[in-house]
Amino acid sequence: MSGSRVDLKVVLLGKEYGGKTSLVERYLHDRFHGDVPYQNRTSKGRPFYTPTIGAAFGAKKIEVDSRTVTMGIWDTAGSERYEAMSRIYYRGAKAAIVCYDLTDGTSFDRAKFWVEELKRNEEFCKIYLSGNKFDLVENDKSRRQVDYHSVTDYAEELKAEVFETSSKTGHQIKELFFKIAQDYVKEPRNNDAAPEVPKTLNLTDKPKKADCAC
Amino acid sequence: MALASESSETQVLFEQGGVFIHTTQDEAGDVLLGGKIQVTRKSDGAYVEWNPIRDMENSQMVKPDTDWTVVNTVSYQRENSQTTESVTVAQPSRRSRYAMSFPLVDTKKIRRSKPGLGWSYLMFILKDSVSLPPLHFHEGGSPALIRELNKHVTISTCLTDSCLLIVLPHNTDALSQSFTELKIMGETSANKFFKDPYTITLGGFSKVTNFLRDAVMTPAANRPIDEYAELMSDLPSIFSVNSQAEQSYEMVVTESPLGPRPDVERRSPLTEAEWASHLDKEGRVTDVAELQRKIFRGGLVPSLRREVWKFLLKYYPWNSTSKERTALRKLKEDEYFCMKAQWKTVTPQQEKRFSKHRDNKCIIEKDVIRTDRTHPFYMGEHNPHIEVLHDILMTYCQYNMDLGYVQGMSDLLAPILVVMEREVDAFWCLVGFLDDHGLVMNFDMEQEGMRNQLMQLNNMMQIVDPKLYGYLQSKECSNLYFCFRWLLIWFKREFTMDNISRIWEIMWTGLPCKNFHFLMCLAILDGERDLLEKENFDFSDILKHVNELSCSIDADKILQTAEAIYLQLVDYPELPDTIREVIGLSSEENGLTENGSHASESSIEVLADPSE
Repeated sequence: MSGSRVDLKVVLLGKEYGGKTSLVERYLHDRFHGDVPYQNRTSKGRPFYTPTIGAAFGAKKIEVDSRTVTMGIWDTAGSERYEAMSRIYYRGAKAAIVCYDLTDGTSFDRAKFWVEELKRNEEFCKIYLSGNKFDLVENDKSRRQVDYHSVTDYAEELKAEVFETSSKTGHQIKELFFKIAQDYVKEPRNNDAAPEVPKTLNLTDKPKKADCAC
Repeated sequence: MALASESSETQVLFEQGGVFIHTTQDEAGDVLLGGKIQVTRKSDGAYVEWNPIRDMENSQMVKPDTDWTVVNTVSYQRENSQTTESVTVAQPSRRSRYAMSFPLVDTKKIRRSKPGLGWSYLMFILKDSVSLPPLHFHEGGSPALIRELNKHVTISTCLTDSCLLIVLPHNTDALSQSFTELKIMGETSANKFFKDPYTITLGGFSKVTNFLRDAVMTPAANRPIDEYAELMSDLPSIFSVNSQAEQSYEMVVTESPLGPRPDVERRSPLTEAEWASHLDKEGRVTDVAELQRKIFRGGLVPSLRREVWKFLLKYYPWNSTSKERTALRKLKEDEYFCMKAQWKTVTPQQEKRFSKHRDNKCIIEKDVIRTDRTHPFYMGEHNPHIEVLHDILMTYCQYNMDLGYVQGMSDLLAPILVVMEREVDAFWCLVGFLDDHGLVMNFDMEQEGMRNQLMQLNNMMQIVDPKLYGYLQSKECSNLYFCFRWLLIWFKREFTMDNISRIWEIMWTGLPCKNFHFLMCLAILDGERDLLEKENFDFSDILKHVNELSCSIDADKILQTAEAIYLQLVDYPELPDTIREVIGLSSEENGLTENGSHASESSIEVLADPSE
């Protein structure tokens, strides 16, 4: 699927091992292989979740209110060292899924860092907070390191959505992406319907301004 | 290479056909006048000329222009003025009112089209502010023209308008003018990028303009991808002098200036018998250069890797005796365990106050359980080799405390440990890989090493594969971010363990040149170019495609192509110095010195030259 036909650019950001790649895998391919890493294979014999280097891209169509929206999903490297690269990938995103690990308090600090970045640089990017690995805290409340209500309080200020997801069970993942697509469709700014026609150069136009201040 | 031309005094330095002037004729509509542009050398300097070609078959003459043969002068509107003045632009013997010829030094500015809007055009603006009609390059060639002009004058990009090129004479007070421009710019929105231009040497000014063009001029909103700005910000000093940055602004691009790509032979891996023949009685390696050439050409049989990699990774000196190596190994073992003891003995109390240690430990623990777990050596639950990976990486954090552990390092270590099996040896080989082969630069905090490499690769692509470069530019991804993983961990994720072992040992020879990995990148992309273009892939498609190439790339073919590209570069007399420097060719006229210790290490004989 060509990225050029993507309506809605979604980027995943967050600390390493926060579950970004798993989330994308679950959503795009409905699979999860995180528990027993040595058994994880793609068709090409590689484990799924080697730490992401650079970035990965996948796309998926989703039906919302009788409209088909093509989402292009960018999975980024979580390591702080590659932060500059991740910045490149959120440019022009309409939605960002900022991930944190419900069992890792520091991952939420990192999520806040990305939220601040996005607010500063991407005015039109809607933010979705995704607390990942919900299955781990569902059965063992003592493992929860990020309180749901403090996240929703934080999100309220931001007008961000909060989801607690599990790529292992699939909990709330379709809902998360559906919500993203729905918000996109509802947003009047995205509804000028006609796909943008690339501007053509009018060959008869003489360039009007042939100079600049320098 | 001058072409013959009509006047004995006039040398044609450059010629490009399919260059059109689009005139607007009253109610009858557009007329496209086809012609060719030339750069010529006359007795008083370089000239730019455009002449119509009347009988050109593909001349898209919509309507004949009856004025063609009559008028020798031409009227164009002065900018910033409503009055039309007649200016003599050309003194041609025949030709149309549109023909033009002017000394290049009279050019003040050149306006070029925005990339990706179909045919590109160039519009020359002369010193007296006369704007000549835009020349539309229907068959490409405008980058090549700019490249040619850049030989005669200095062309830099306007700081506030990336589509405007400023022409300065080569040898006048260009620099002082440049600094005047700098000050003007200092008062604009580009301000923040001028924090430290003054720390840059005068000679580096062209670096600054290019850097700034990339940094400032890209409108962020609609160009999410093509952003050097991010990677390049606050790094002007590493930005290489890059006249080629001006070269490609259109989708149709000229052919590579390099000669034909030679065939390259590879040979079978170095055998144990061959290795033994290179050892003297005391176990010193003899004729290292020859040995390295053999390794470069075919790699090693797997059984030799454990021994020979230690040399290639600078753990063992080539001229050491077996006895010395045994002693060295003992020494290195002590050193290793000393460093290992340091982190092993950090108490939980200390750890609480040692965040860097905590962070390293946390990520290493997670990374090692996800590194190459499908390979038999690391397969299975409770595999003891996982812990060895862990311990080596933790010890590396003690070895290089400033750097610590960065994701990607486990990828570099895993194949080495498979071969070495012994923890201590694997550690020192990893150190050699990172330190002596420069990979440590890839992991620095500011990512300067990676930015620099992406820039260098970009520069090289402009020469080696202008067609692909033009395509990537049209898709706004000439930043080559999709090569990030290749460069960061030397293709580790792109090949199987066996293949990456062979590729690495070949690359560790340092042959045939410095930074051979750039040529490997170009070789891989060479095989994908047609597909990318045919499918009209954009950045996201390319990234996806490139990621999916993993383990399906033909290692031998890539090595051959990469070497062939190297030979093309060596044979190209006009190879820019920046590129010579990157691949370690001397900047002398022909670049290949046969003698001299450095050259003998960084150049390689062509065993079989197929062209002869």
